[in-house]
Amino acid sequence: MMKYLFMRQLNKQRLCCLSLVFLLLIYLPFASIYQNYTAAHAYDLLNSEEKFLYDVMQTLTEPLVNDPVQLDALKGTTWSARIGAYKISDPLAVVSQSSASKSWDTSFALTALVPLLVSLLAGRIFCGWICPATLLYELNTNFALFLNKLGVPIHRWDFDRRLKYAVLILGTLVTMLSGLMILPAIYPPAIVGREIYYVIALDGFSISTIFFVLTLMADTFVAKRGFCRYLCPGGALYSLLGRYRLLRIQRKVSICNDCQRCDSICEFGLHPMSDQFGQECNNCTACIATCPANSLQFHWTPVDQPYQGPGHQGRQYIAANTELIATDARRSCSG
Amino acid sequence: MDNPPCLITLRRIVLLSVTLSCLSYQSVFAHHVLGRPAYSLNEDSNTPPSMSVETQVGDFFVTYMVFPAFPKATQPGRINLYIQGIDEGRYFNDNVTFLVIDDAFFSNRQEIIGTQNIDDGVYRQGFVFKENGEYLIRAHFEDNEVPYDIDFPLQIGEHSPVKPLVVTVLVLLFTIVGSNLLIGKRAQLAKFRAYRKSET
Amino acid sequence: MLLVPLRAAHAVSQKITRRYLRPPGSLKEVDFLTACIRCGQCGEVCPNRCIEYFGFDEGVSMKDTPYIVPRVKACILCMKCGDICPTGAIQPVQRLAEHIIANVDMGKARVDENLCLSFQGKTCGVCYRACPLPDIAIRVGMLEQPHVLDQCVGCGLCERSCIQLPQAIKVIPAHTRLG
Repeated sequence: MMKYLFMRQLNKQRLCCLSLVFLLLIYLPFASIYQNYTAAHAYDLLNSEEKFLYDVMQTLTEPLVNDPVQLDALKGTTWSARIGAYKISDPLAVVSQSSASKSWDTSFALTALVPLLVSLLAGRIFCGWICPATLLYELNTNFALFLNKLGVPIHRWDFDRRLKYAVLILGTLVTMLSGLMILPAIYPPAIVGREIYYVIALDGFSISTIFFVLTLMADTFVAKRGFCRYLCPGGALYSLLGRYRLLRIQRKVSICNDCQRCDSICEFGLHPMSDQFGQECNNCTACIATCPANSLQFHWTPVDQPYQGPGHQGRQYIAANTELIATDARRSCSG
Repeated sequence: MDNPPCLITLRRIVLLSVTLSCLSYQSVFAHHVLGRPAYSLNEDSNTPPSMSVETQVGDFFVTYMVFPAFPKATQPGRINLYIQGIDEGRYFNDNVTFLVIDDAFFSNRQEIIGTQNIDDGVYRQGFVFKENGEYLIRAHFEDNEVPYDIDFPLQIGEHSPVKPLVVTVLVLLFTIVGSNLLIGKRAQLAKFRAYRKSET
Repeated sequence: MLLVPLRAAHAVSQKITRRYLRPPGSLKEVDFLTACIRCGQCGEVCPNRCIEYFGFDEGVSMKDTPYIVPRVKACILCMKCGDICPTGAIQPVQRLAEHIIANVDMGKARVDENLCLSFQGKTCGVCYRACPLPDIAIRVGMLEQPHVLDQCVGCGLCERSCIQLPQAIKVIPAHTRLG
């Protein structure tokens, strides 16, 4: 029972994790400004807004570090970051950079090793648990439902999930041929990370924000999580890496009651009730949290189960098997 | 005149590095050499306090300065233009024609404000605008039959401190987060109902 | 914002751009553009906040790449950007004079004798005093007339400090020097 309670909490923890990443992305540019003020040793020359920022940052960081220079320990975004002495980068950055320069930089590739291994083990988990765009897209899905309640038509279409693999391949090819770094320009987590820095520490948003807002609007009016499902090159890469992931969600058919809550809540339009998870599942555990029968669980196995048929607690199975049960009962009664 | 093949035609320059060199408009400490500031407030001096924009086009570095830094309508102002070659810093010597273009949407008003010779290394052009608004100052000159047209932004009147894109995004974020708080727990139920409806 | 038509002339590629420097220790421009992953960490770690990022105005190839405008804020050669760059688009350089002189080439300063006060008989010398490598990168002659030397790394502190408007000494970026 405790295990089930824990599993059901994972979705909330995931939202905390996503929020934490987002808050860090907001905190870091402020820290950069604060470090500039402290390095300049010019508190008296600051104007009142700058002094306010300084004072707030000082209050926040004083318990953590002796010297503001130590705040250099955490820098960057989910695209590429440095934590202490360790650099960590998005595998898509390695793909993009090696295609553009047509050369292989081992020391840079190694910075993507941890995300690579985690994706091989747990699949598209970056998309579910870390990506800052995910937080905005998920909130946007609920916003779309809110609009729907007001009568606005939403989520009209579905497309082919394989489209994003084409985007990944085409993007890589164009990068190779032209040397232009187009993938970081269209990849939402890189965009969100950079734009938050630009609006806080530089003089405002760039055109990429308009692009991101358009993807939000497309998500609302065209297809649920449209960019993540059909266009994101990073999502495509993570899905490929996670094809044989070990950490999977699977359905326990004996307690499943075919209620379809899991199918309805899946942001990526997967079908847990039909045992269809596939390489696209980002282990977000929303389906686990919503299942009233606790029939969805994590398992360590490299492949999905083949379709197990209707849930045994569900109407379809019971109806199909009532005859059999009755026949069995008669047989055992009669002798 | 037919355009020769290796030419630079219309050059429209976006806002480049805008250096607020105008020290009298904010309390910043000026360098003083021998107790005397290098600039003077007189618009006739070579180095008036102003807004400056710099660019690099073709073979030239072009620096454009406006005095005063924040001009207003009906207030006379001056443009100082410096054109130097990239390679050796030689000064460009021929005439430069200044035009002003209305930069508002759906407007293509433009007029020539003057043609200037070089004067002590500077091209000086006076102006008086009748109305506030966003304008472009175009400097036109030709070097070895290659025409250059360089546009610099000039805002007459007050700047709006609030940026429309930032406001839009913040409003959008506020709406999205707000609607999430309003829909709350009912989100799951709403998704379920929406799914059922899309199935039938 | 005005869109910039990128029309290249015949044999010489004429870029319309602002005069900018790349961070210290950067690879040469062509290699830099394919090594930089547009992560933004160099600007974030810069304690002087002199690193800015291109928008879309300069084209897709430049978007989100770092640059410095020395007249606005010059580089103090703290070399933190090279340490944090994950791909080596900005090479790490030790913060010692001989390493910086050998490995940093942001550009070279050039004095405009028509504007420089010292060449007008007025004795300035501010740029010399601002230089982090005085007598190595820049020396002064009579009336504090500045003469830029070969070992100038192009940090732009001289340009930033010049009291003339427009500045009488400016850094010619490494990527625009022809020949």
